[in-house]
Amino acid sequence: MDSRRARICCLDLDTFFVSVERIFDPSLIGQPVVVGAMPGNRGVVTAASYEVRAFGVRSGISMTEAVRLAPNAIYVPTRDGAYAQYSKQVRAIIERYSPVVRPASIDEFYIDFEGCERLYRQPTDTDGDATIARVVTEIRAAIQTELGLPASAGIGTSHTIAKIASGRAKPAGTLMIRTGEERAFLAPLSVRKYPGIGPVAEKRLHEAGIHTLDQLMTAIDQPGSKRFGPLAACVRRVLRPVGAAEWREERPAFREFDPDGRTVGSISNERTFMADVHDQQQVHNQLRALAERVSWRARRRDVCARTVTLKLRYADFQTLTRSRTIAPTDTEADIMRTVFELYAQAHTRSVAIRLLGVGLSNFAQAERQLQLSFDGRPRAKISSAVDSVRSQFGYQAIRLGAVADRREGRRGDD
Amino acid sequence: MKVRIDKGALITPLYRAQGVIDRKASTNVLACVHMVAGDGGLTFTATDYDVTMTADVSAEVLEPGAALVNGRALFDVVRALPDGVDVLMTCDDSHRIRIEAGRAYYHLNGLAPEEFPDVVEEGTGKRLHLDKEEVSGMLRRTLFSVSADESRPALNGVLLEIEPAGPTQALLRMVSTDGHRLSRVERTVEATDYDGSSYRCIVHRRGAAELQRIFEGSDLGVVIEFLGRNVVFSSDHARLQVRQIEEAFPEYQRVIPDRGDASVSLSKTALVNAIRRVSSLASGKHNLLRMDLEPGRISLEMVHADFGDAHEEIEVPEYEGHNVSVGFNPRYLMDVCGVLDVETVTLEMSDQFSPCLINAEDEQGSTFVVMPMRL
Repeated sequence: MDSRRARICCLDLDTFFVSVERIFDPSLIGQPVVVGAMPGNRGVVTAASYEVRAFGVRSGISMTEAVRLAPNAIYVPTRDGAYAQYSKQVRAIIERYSPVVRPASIDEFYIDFEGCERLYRQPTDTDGDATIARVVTEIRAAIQTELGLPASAGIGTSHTIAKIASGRAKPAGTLMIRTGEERAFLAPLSVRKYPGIGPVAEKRLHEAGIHTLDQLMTAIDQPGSKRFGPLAACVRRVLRPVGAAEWREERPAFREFDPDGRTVGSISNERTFMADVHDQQQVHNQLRALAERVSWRARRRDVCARTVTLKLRYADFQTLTRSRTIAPTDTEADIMRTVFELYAQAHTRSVAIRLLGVGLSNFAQAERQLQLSFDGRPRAKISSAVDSVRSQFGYQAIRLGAVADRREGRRGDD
Repeated sequence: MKVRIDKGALITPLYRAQGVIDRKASTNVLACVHMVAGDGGLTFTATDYDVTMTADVSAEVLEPGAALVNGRALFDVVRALPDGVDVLMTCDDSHRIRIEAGRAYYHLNGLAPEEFPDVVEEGTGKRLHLDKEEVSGMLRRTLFSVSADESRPALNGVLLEIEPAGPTQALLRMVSTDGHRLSRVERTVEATDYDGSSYRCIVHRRGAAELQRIFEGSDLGVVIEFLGRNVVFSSDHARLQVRQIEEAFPEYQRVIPDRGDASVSLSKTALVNAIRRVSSLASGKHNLLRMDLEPGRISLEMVHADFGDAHEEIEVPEYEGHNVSVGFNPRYLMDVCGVLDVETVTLEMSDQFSPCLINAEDEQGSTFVVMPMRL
């Protein structure tokens, strides 16, 4: 069982958006930098440099909050396209070293080095683990010298260990947790460091007197303990090195690019309006834009969705979700029609709308066989033309004619 | 009821009834054949409500009457009898059927004949006499692409259209599609009693398939009759009544391209053999046949992630157009080639997302459309 070695690497680009901005404007180096929406609107912080993190500014907090915490920081608006371009180049560098690379997000990559140690072995390496740790450090150095982007990497027997280790390796470090060292590594960390333990679970654990992962592991290890059911199962699995087949199943939320499990999980996008909206035209346009985006993401993932979900939040924070299951589809026309039907059914109050979201789930592998278009619309041809323009010039290069005002509000993927 | 009948005469209607009787029906009567003896013959009827088959055979009627018995059981019994024997069939008051032939005899438990539903539509409607071979050939060219997906009922049958084409001629058209491919066959046929009106109906695939079975007889003609919600096909001794599918057939004209950017004519045999060889690697969902058309040749390729890959080239010296790459389900191409009785077929394609048109110069009026698979 313990034959599984530490071969999963989580490589995370340090303050990625800030690092890219520093390539464009080197005067930002060493300065407190915040990248995100412009101050004064409802946007959020996309990335904060280490200099500004000391003030409590983190990615994900609102701009208003950031400005309150760090009024003297340099605020840089996000730019289109450039980040994805750099992310692609990083991936290309990593792929020189391992064929199994799964981008988990724009600045985070999982790499499987299983079976690679003999390929890279050098006489000075004490064992396979040392070889892999050295190779990962080389990758980080290549990303730094070729692109100017700092990265940190964690290596472990599972996704979760690698992810936590990459966090502990920051900034610009490599940390390997060898087989059997997992428990000792996790023990001193606060429970919140464990992926999946958010503020709510943390509060529950604190109430139970559990603050560190050591305390948590001890609590769940007790015979007959039924406490923290699903959480305990998740932690136990990480402590026990898992097989290659299992690690791919570990984090369904990060499955966007995973060709082995494309139909797991869901795809959703939501948008908060800058100011709450009454105008139905604006609402419809936003629904179209969201449907357009999720359809495109479904096609990139090579799946067709059976279930379409609409999320609707009124200005008073009442939130509704409505779903409908239809024939598997990945085209804007079908998804949009369903979204409009769901909206017509869900929208019953005259209160202004704060947020809209569209989600796809219950995926089927995309059907390779094309359908005859009896309605005269060659769907596959249109989608393919749109997708090829986008793959070359980016998502914004071609949009639905009816989608106006497209950069409004903040965007939240996944 | 008491009749004496030759085994050979008895087996034919029973064989024809096998496709209609519903073996899984919840009511027993639908698994039965209904027999009526009178006026010098026996009349057999079997139905599943959508398709109703009626056949007459001559028999020596010793005592008129009716019987209702499991169609499969009766068929199995009669089939096992030696050829050329006379069969004596008797039905008593308790609906038990006795079958005697030579020194063998059987008893089959029947049902009360009155329980058989009154399904045969009486009366006369608009009629059209057609050549059997013609109709049979058209059915063969369309039946294979009928959809079996019950969620799209309009596609579960063959669309039959009749339009005037001349003083004593009618244009007969049959169209079928399963959403991935489409077949359209048109023939101008002699129809002396045609009144010039247009007809359009969808014949359920089960009825159309039964029609082929009925055509196996020796008669030359077939009469098509439109009777209320049914369409009736009859030859001298058999009658098939098929309920029309009352749905809107899709606008098939829209998906038939006038022509493709690239058009290539080649030997059907060469194409079929090459596809068969290359697709020996096909399994389940791994059935993507890649076809690369370039000046002078067509390359076929199939890649199976687990097994390996297969390649073959067909020379097409006369093709000088541009390069096109298209993916296909090989079975769809084979099906079309299988129904065309010609040596040369023409493929017309535009790009990897557009429908591929297949037809044959030597067989005007037969048009096939196959949608590609994503490469």
